[in-house]
Amino acid sequence: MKKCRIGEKKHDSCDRISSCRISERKENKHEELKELVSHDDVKYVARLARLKVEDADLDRYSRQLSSILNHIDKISELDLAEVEPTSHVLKLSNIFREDVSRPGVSRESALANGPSVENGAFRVPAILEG
Amino acid sequence: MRLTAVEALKHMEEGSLSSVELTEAYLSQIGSHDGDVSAYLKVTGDRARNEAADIDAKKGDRAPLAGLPTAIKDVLCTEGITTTCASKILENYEPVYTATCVRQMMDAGIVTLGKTNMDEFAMGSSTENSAYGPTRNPWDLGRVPGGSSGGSAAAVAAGEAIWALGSDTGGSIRQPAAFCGVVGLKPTYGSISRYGLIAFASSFDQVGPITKNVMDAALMMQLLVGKDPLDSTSVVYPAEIPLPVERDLSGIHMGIVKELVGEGIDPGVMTVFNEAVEKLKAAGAVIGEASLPHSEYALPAYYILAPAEASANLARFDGVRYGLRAGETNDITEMYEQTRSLGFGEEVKRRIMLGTYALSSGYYEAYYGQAQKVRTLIVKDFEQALEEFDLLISPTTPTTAFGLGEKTDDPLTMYKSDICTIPVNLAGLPAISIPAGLSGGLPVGFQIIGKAFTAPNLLQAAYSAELAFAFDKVSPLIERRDQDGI
Repeated sequence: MKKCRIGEKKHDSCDRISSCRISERKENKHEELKELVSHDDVKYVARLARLKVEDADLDRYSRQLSSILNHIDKISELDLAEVEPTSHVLKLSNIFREDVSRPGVSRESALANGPSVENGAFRVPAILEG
Repeated sequence: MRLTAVEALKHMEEGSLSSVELTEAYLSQIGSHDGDVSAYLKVTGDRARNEAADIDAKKGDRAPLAGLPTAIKDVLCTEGITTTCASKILENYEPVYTATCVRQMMDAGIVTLGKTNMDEFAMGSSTENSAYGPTRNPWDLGRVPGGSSGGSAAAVAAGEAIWALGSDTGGSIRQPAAFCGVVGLKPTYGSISRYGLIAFASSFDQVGPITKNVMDAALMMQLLVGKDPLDSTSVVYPAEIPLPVERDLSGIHMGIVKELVGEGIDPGVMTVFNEAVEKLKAAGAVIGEASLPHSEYALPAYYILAPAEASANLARFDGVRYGLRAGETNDITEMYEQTRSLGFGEEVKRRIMLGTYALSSGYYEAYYGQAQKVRTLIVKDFEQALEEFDLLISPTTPTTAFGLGEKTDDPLTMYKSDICTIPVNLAGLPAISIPAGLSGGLPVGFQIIGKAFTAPNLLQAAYSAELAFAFDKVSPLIERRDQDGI
């Protein structure tokens, strides 16, 4: 079976692999607690979320996230093929307002909480190389 | 100190109580006990005294909530008052605007006592996830007040505020209200503006009252509901919300949610719940058994959807526009990572990673997509149950308040303390927790769930239930105050 390790850098190349993970999980159902989230997974997800995880903490996060995901896996018992998703409980769409200007936050206020401000702008480390 | 908001308003209108007297009584209670309880992150004493004096000085018409000493959960933006969300990342954040709900309360004349403690970014069930230390339960200082609105609930229970604003994403108003023996209402999603409520999970978050009784909750709801042009998910409330009246429960059909009274619910909680049901029957309610067949899938679905939304919402904390910045390096990614790692606490990081994982390429459909479908099943479960019954009832929490540190090592155990409240948030429905009695000296909350946008019915039934339960116990901190007068 095709396996997807989310920690691998070439992850983008294996799209639409959710089914592979599901079947992988179903096969392992009898195991009591699976390590769904490996150390590499933790590192990869932390990188996506712009968090730094110390090596000493990898084990704890891997264990805790795996335990939560094991519980969440209960959902795979359900047959959801014919069920529509709900993203929002209110049936609202296209909320419009008149296209007229109204007072907003002034530049001074907007910058008031900036940790580093210069010449009326937020100062950040260089984004482009060169 | 036992005066409710409605009673205090009456006394102040009649002139038998001044706003300054009332405010000083609450500030002195905060001075005596908040060192132990830690309900507040910031007490705005000077501001409160000035506001109270201004109200007393004013002649003529009084504003509708004039002089009521109010606590505000620190998840709500307050211009000129530091708003931290109990996070280090917002330690010195002073918003440049005020949340609509707070603005409405201020315009109606409240006295601002301060900002209350909470689980960081409202993620937690015990207020132990605050970066500034836990709040303690006024009934037993060795126990948690619940969370995430633990500071607001503890403030009301300790007599440190006449009422408070909270927010509820998975039970964060009702669960602490239950643990602290006070009333907490989560309104229907869309009833109250979320503008200025620092976002956790935007399709679940809702602001609501934490009060001494149901009457006060109705009074606050009257003021807060309605459409706000600044929150496009808020709606015009379809009905006036009257204050409830003395009435029995004749002809009201209530369904006990059988999935929320079985396994996992503490026997002491069940005893109080069952006694409460008998009192409702005696008051005329018609009680039957209701079923939400998919409720066991609510917690798993919630812990995909809410962290997924949180991981997107919390992307804004990047050390650029506000809050902490760490790691002044030449590398912007390094700056982001250091800022967020230093600024966020353990639970927040855990949920961001969980949400990021559920949304990441390859897992999106398996987790997020499936959880959205489970949400549909839960919405339908409630629709069916509420066709048969006017209201649904259950315990608010599976146990009474647990000990500090008891559940901090195992996130999943902590999450399970919200099993009775989370299904309601998935469906966006209104629900209230009212104290029904004591078990082992600790309050037990009774949850009543209504149909969408029917706060008047829900509040009336809750008021009748409150009369039937006749729960008149207060925390030892208020009892002590009573003995000293006022």
